Amino acid sequence: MKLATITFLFFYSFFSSIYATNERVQEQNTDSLRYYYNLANYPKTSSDLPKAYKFYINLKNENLRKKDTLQAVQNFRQIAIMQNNWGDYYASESSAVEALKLLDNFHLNDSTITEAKLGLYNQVGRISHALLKYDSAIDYFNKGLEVASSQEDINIIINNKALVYRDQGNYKQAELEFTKAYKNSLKLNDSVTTSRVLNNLGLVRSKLNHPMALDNLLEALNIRLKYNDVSGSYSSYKNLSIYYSDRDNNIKALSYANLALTAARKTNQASYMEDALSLILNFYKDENVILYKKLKDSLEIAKQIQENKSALLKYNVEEEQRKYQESELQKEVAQRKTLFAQGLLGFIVLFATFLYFILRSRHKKERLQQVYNTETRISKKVHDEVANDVYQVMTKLPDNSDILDDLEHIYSKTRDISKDNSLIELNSSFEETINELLYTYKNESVGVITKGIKIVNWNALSNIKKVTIYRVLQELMTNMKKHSQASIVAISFSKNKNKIHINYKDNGIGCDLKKQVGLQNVENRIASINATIIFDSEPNKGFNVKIVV
Amino acid sequence: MFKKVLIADDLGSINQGVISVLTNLNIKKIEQVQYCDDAYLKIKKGVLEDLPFKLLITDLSFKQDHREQTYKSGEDLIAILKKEHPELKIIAYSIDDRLLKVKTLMESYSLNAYVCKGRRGLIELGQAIKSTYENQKYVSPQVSHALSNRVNLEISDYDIKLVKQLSEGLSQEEISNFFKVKDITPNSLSSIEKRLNNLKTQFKANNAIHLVAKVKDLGLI
Repeated sequence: MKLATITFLFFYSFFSSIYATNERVQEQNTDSLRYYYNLANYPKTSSDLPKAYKFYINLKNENLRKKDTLQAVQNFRQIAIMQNNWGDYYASESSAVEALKLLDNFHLNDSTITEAKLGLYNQVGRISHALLKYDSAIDYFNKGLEVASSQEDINIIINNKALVYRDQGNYKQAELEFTKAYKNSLKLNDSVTTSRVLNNLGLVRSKLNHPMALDNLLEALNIRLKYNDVSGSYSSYKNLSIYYSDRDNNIKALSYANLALTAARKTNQASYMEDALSLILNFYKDENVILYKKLKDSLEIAKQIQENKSALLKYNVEEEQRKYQESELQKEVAQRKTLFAQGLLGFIVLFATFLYFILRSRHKKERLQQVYNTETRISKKVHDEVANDVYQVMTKLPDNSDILDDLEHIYSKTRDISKDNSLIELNSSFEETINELLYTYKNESVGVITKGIKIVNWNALSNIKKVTIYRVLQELMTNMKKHSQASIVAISFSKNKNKIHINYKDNGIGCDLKKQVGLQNVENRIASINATIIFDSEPNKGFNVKIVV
Repeated sequence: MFKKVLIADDLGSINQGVISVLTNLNIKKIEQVQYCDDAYLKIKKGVLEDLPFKLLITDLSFKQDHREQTYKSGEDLIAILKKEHPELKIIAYSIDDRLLKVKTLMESYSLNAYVCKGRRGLIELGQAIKSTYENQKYVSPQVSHALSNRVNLEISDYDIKLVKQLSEGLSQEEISNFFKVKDITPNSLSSIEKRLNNLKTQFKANNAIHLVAKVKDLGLI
């Protein structure tokens, strides 16, 4: 019974405001919007509401994606209305609150925003009322009053607020509010509002035993009869019946109840008729009727509570699911972000390492090249400046001079130093270069043998490696010539996969490797091209060197 | 004898020795330069004036100084002149006694003579000039084997197989038969004997046993 009144009062404000905003929306959108708007608000078949609901949900999501907040708010309001209409109060409240949250971001005093806020506060307050959350309902209506500017809007909200007080049993407060609304409605000269407020005021005053109660109720009825407001007069008759019933005037109460039934019949509204009949039944003292009515009322209340509970449960489950899905989505996004960050980090590390090694290798190459350049430069200097000068002195001396012998010795030594470090012929066949190098160490007392020099692909070697091999062999041969007393040396070359194996072996006196510091130079050169070298010798067992490049 | 000779050497005093050699050979027109580029220009000028140089005696290594040179070494100079004026005779006179260098110059650029600076350098230079005049190649004795083909130090696969059979106790006759079966040539007894004698010399071995021991010690088999 109470719900019916609330719904009636509510629709007035809500539809009028929604319609105003939708006009704006419709200007921008296609005909489909009008079609679905009609489906949502004036459903004709059972599939209309779900269809409209789906449409508005999609539209809302799209507008949210496009960041069109205002449009999304309007969609939310439409959704909330639909949810409210089929009794899903919790979902409706949630939709409306969500829309309010969106509006919180706007601080402009735009009339559209204000209007939307007002409508939403009214909506949420009304739902809270329906869910018997009186305090929060009052709260929302107060917020609505803060943003409301027109007297019509203020009046509607005051009226709604008063209804909450009334249902709460707080008749004094309710009377206060209704009085306010009544005074306002008189100013507006709006007969419908005036009669409605007056009717409500009368009922509350009746409960308070106020002397003006009956006058108020009758005046409301008079206005309604004057303007032929059938559903309004039904409400007036009903309240008058309650008024007399409360004062144990059953005859008058019954007659007003019958009038209410007549008015209800005219409205052709089943709920009104059922309401009126239930009122009439109160006056039949039949035991069964009383029992039936009692049971029906308590069952209805129980049913309503049950429905509310299940709706809350359903809503909570849905809300939990939605939150879970949202958190899952966020988790996934976070995971993806982490993965991306990790990937990026990994890539950077990899790239940096790669760069480091490239630069290091390049630096090493440059350093080797530098060493080689310096060697050849010094060699040329020794050649051009020292050897030539010595030779110049030699040419000035008579042929049989003793000094000439000494000078020639110095000259050849200088020339040897120069030769040890001179530019190596890398452009012509490296095989021949090596061959020539080794050949210079061959003489009457030392035989030099090579094996497999032709099977190595010398062209595939880099110049740095060629120079290193040349210098190492040079060093080994010089060493052999100076210390080994060998009569024969064999250098064998072989290929294994991509590596070149060079094996030096002589039949000399060998040496104690620990005492050999001169070979350090060879080791350094080999290490600089990442090759390996193994020395193997014992006194009187010859000297053996294995190189892998 | 050559009528007109050019000397390119960055040390003037050495040229004095060379000049005395030339004078002794009764050569009148002698000019000297200290840069390769100058030598190149002088020779070009001689050709243009129809009084060409007949002989160039050049060092190989030139000290680099403030003058930027197109031809930085004697080798560069020889290469370009032999290409543009093949009729010009050139003698290289250098400290460098690396065989490959000598071989490359003599064979790749058809250098006429290569004389090593040394105690007997000037005497050899005189001989080189005479030989060149008679269109004969000359190379200082200390690098003379650069031109011979016996620079090869490589031991052949055949020699390895030969010593290998010997090390396994086969006689020369058995080796000959073995080679015949395996179709390895030469496999006549006489050629095997000759080959082994060569190897003995090469490895400075007194007899076959000594040879096998040495070859084995050197890790060749």
